[in-house]
Amino acid sequence: MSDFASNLALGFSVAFSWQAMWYCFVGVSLGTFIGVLPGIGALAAIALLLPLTFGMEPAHALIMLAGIYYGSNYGGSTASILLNLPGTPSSAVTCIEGYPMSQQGRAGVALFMTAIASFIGSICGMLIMAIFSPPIAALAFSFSAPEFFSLMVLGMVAASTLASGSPLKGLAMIGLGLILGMVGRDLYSGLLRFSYGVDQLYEGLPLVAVALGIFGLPEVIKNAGQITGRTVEARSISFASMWPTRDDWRRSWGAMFRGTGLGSFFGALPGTGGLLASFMSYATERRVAKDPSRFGKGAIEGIAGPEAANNAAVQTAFIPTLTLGIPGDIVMAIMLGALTIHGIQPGVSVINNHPDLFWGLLVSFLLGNFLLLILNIPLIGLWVRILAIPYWVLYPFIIAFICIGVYSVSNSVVDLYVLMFFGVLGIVMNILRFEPAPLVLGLILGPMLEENLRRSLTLYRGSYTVFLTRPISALFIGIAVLILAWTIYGMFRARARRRAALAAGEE
Amino acid sequence: MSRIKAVDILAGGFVVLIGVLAIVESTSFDMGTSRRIGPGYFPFYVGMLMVLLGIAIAVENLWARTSSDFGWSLPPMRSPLLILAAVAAFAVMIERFGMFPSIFAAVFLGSLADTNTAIWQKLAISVAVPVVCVVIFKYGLSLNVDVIRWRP
Repeated sequence: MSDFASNLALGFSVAFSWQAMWYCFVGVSLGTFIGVLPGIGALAAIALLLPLTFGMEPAHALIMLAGIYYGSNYGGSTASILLNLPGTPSSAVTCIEGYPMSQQGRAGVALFMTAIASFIGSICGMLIMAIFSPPIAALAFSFSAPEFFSLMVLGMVAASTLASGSPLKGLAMIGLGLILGMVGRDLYSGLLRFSYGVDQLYEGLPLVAVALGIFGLPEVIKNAGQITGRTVEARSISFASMWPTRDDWRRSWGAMFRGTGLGSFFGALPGTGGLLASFMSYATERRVAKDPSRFGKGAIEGIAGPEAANNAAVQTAFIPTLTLGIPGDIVMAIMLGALTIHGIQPGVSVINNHPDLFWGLLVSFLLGNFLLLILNIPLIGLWVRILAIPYWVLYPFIIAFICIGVYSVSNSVVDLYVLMFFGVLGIVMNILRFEPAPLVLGLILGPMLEENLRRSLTLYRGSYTVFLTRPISALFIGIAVLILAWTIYGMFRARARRRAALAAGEE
Repeated sequence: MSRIKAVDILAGGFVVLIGVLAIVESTSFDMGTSRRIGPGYFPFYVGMLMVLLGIAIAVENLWARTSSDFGWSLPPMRSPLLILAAVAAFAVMIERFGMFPSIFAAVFLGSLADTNTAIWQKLAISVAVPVVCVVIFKYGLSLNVDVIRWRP
C-alpha cells in the first residue's frame, strides 16, 4: 500500500509540474475543439501533432496526446446533441436521445448531463486503471510468447466479431491488416516482402499515412459539399437552463454506473473500445427501462449511460497498451508509436522502468478531466459558436493539415503516395461495406503476432499444442473460440429468422 | 429467386483476390519448417485464411437471399477524384515549389469538390489556408520546409 502511495506521489509530482499542466491543458482544449467539429477525429489530430512532440519529454508528449483523445470524447457529444451529427464515432449513439432533447428545448440539460456522465466515466476508468494495471503487469511478467500470441488472437477475434457489421467481413479486414503489416523487411531473413519494388517501404508502411488515408480522406470526401446549411442559434445556453431536474438525476445515476462498468470492460479488452461500449450501454438502458417507449424521444438515461461508457473505455484502453504493449485501439497504436519514437520499448516493463511516465500520465487524467468539466459546462457557449463554422471553410484546412502532417513525419513524398493509396482503399472498402478499424488493428498487431508465433514454435519444437497446454494461453484461446461460436450461432439464427419472415411473407 | 447482394459477391471476390496475392508473394520466399518458420510461412497461411473468408462472405449471401438492399451503383466520382488530385498535387509540388504553392494548389483542387460555393469563395480559401499553414507550421512550429522554393 505504501508502494501505491509513493507511486501516486510520484505521479502528482510529474503531472503537476507547470509544463505538464500546460501540455495537459493544450491537449484537452484541442481535443474538445476537434471533438466538437464533425468530420475530424481524435485520430487525425493525434497523428498530426505527433511530429511536434518529438522534442518533448516522453511523459509530457503522452499527457498531451492522451488529453486530445479523451478531450475529443467530451466534445463529440456537442454536435450530436445540437445538430444530430456525431462529432466523433463513439458519440453517434448520443444523437438518438440527445437531438430530440434539444428539439424539446432541453439541449442545455443534455449537454450538462453528458459532461457529468463523461466525467464520472473517466474518473472511474482512471481508478480502475490505477488499481488493476500493476497486478496485470506483474502477471504479464510470467507471460511468454504463446500467451502474447493467444491474447492478440483473442483481441483480434473480439474486435472483428463484436463490432458492428458482418463478422466475416471484420475477420477479412483483420487478415488484410496482417498482410499489410508484413510489408517491409522481414526481421529474421532481412528480405523485403510485399514491397513491390518500392524500397522506401523497408521499414514497413508509415502508420500515420495509412491511418489518415483510410479514416481521414474518405471522411472529407464524403462530407465535402454535403454538410451545408447549419443553423446553430448562437444564443448562449444559460447556466440555469442546463440544470437537470430531480427526475433527470434519478434516471441518470444508474445508467452512468452501468455504462461505466461496460465501458471499463470493453476498453480494457484489446481491440474493442468506446464505440462498442456506448452501443452496448444504450441497448442495456433500453432493456432495463421500466418504460422503453420513452426511448428515441429524449430519454436522458440514453445519453448518460453511453457517454459514461465511452469515456470509461478511453481510460481503460490504456491498461493493455501500457501494461502489455498491446494497443487497445488505433489511437493507442499511435501512442505506442510515440513511445517507441521516444526510445521507450512498449511492453510489460513500462510500469517498472518508467514509473514517472505511467503514474504521471494517470494523475494527469485527473487534472485533465477537471479541466474538461470547466471547459464543457461554464464555457459551453464558446464551443457552440465553433459549430457555426461552415464546412466549406473547414475541409480545405483538413486537407492541408493531412498533407502536411503525413509529409512532416519523415519528410517523405512516398508517404504521401501511401496516403493516396489508402485513401482509394478506404473508398473501395466503403463501397463494399468493410469496416476500417479491424484492418488497422491487424496492421499494428501483425508484426507482433508473427514474431510471437515464430518464437513460440521455436521454443516448443514446432508444436502448435503449446497454445493449448499452457493454461493462460489456453484460457485466451478458449474465450476466442467461445466468441466465434457465439457469432456463428448468431448468424445461423438470423438466417433462420429471415427465412421464417420470408415464408410468412409468401403465404 | 436468386437475388444476390451484388456488393457482397464483389466483397468476397476482393478478399479472395487479396488472399491469392498474398499466397503468390509467399511462394517467392522460404517457407521454413514449423520449428523454424521462414519468411514465407506466415503470409502463406494468412493468404489461405483470406481465400476461405472471401468464399464464406460470398456464400453467406448466396444463402441469405434477402431482397433488401439489392441495388448497387457507383457513388459519385467528383469528390473522390478531386480530393485525391489535391493530395497528388501536394505530393508532386512540395519538394519542387515549397509549402505555399503546393498547399494553394491542393486546396484549390479540393475546394472544387464542393459545388455549393462561388468561385470567389474557393479562391479566398485557397489563399487563406496556405497563409495560416505557413504561420502555424513554419513560424509557429519551425517545420523544416521552405515556404517557396524553385527546383522544378
